[in-house]
Amino acid sequence: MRSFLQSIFGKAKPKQVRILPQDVTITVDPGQTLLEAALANGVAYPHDCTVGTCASCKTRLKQGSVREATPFGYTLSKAELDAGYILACQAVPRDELTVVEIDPPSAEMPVAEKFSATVVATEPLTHDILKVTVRADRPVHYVAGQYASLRVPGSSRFRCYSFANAPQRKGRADLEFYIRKVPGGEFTEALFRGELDARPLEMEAPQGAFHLRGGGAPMVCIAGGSGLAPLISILEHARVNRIKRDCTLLFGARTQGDLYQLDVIRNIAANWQGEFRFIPVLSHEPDASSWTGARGLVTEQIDPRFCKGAEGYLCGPPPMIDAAIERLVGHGVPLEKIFYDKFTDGRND
Amino acid sequence: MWDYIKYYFAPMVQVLAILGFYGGGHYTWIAIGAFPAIAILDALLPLDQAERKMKSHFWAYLPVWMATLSLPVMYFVFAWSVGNNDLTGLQMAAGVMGLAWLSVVPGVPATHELYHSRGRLARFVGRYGQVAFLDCMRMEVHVVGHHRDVGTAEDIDTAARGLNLYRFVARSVVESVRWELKLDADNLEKRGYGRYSIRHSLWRALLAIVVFQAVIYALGGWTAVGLCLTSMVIARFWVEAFNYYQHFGQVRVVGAPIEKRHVWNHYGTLSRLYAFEITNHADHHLNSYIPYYKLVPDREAIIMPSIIVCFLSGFIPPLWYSAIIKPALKRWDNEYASPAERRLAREQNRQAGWEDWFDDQDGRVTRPDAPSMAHG
Repeated sequence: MRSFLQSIFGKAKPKQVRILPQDVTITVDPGQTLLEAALANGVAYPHDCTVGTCASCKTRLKQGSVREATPFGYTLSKAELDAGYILACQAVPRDELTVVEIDPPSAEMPVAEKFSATVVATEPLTHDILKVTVRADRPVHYVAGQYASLRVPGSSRFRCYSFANAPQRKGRADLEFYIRKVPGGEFTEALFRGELDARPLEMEAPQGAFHLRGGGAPMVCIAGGSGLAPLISILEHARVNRIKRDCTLLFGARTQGDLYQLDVIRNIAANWQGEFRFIPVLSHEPDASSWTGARGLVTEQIDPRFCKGAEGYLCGPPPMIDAAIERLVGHGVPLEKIFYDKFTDGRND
Repeated sequence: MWDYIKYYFAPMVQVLAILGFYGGGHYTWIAIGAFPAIAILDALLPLDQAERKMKSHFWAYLPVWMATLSLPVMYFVFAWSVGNNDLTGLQMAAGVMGLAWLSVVPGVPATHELYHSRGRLARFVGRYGQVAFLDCMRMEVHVVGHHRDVGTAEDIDTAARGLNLYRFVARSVVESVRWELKLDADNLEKRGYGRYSIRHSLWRALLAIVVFQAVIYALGGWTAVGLCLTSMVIARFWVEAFNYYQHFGQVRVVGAPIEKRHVWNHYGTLSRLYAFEITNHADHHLNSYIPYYKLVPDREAIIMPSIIVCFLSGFIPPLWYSAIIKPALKRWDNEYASPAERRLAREQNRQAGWEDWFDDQDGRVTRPDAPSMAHG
């Protein structure tokens, strides 16, 4: 009886929420959702729509119970509901202490499957890189940073290309890749000549373990050539989910004509939470040109100032990766915090 | 303080309408008279793109609550008027139209504001305030459909180019009801209940309508019930017009993030006040937690005329197209759309039989919110 009266007339006891893996405990005001309280306390919580429909804020409830402002079942599947997932943007804690855990993206690595895919659009990005849009026979689930293996039926081997656009919760049927022409390469020569347009390809996806780790550490992203693709996928996905981390993107290319998707990068930067630094570096730009940006090797532009406490995400040709790792380690980034995807092609065999 | 007072404009209009119903006779025209009066006034007043400096949530929300609670009150007073004043047929019709109009504006903005809140009472009142336009299940389809899919072909609230108001409204009503039923049923099934068990919000929505009509019957008999129901049905169709004017012709690639350009904003002075900033729309889609008085107008957005003027113009499709929306879309396509959106827009224009107005600067569009990049 006393607690009943207290609940009506007494001052409400403040509710606490403990957020893992950061292990931060915050106070949630009456009527506030978990997400609102987290953001108000400076916790970088993934989110996007704030109305309970995109599942970016999907969180595992480990202890306590919550009220659903909007039913989670409008967006989450039965399996997710049964596994104890909630939507932080619509969850209002009921108990004095609630414990929740934000899953890292790798928790959802889907199993690779076989698809049939057809080239539906191509767009030259530079003189030797093509943006290829491929339509799969059904939506593909993948984690940003992963890749697909493509093969022309009857051909001897698969070629691997990273997904260049962000994954979608319901899976994505239209997939973008940035494909560089390999001189004399069987697959890319045919592709660039348009011989593969509208022809069904065999695809195995998703593959690879390259992905953005959880947490709020600053990111140092280094892309060489077509290695920009998985980084764009990761950055787009992070941007949509309002992940708040400082990010430095170094993009190494030979000349100005080899820079591409600058509009996309600009858009990410404009909408990024936290600081976003974009540093294009040209190695073979003529001295007399109008280029006022950085010159030389991209790895030479890795500055110790943005390496403090950072994680490294590297994609590009093996020599670039090796040099970048050496540089990052030299600036104090532990080896286990450096993640990479080495881009090899026919020339490296 | 003046900022707080300005938002009493909507409840004040409702109070005047209610007094008009109470007075009967020619005063019954006040409610529907507000529609063209506000349109003209809004067209004459300058645009307002200022932010509000309001800090008190309580005082800011008081007019929103008043506007919502006035909705059933105005129906009840009209019902009483039908039963006690000697209204002519024309006056009854005026009353019906007036009720429908006020149910739409400020009915929709006020209830929308409350049901987006996180407080239980606010959401409850916001939900059932919508009985005025027969849509107590709206909040579900609004967040799942509209917020998630806005601007894409999957959003039932975004009108494709070439679709006139009448066809859009008819389709929206059907689709929104279908979605409302399905969403709740799917959720219940996932939770292990029957799809249409008593837990489905449908039953409570029907109960609300029955209770509402019972009160109206008690006040004004079957005539009042008939007239009020007519009003509510008209309002049910008319509320879809809000979406028509706020999202007509917009295109967005499915899965691409929602950006400020993916809505139409109406910064008329009265548009903002009378509709509790629902026309200050860009920020709302980016962050639905923001209460109306904290929304920041998008100064880079294409300028649209008063929302009330739009409401009038939509009745005459050629007028809406030529005077308002085509010029806006032409500018949007050429200056705001991303390359992928330009392709979608081009296709929609073609299907609508509109001219090709692209200035063919693929890839060189100016994006107003693009900063200069730090080089090196």
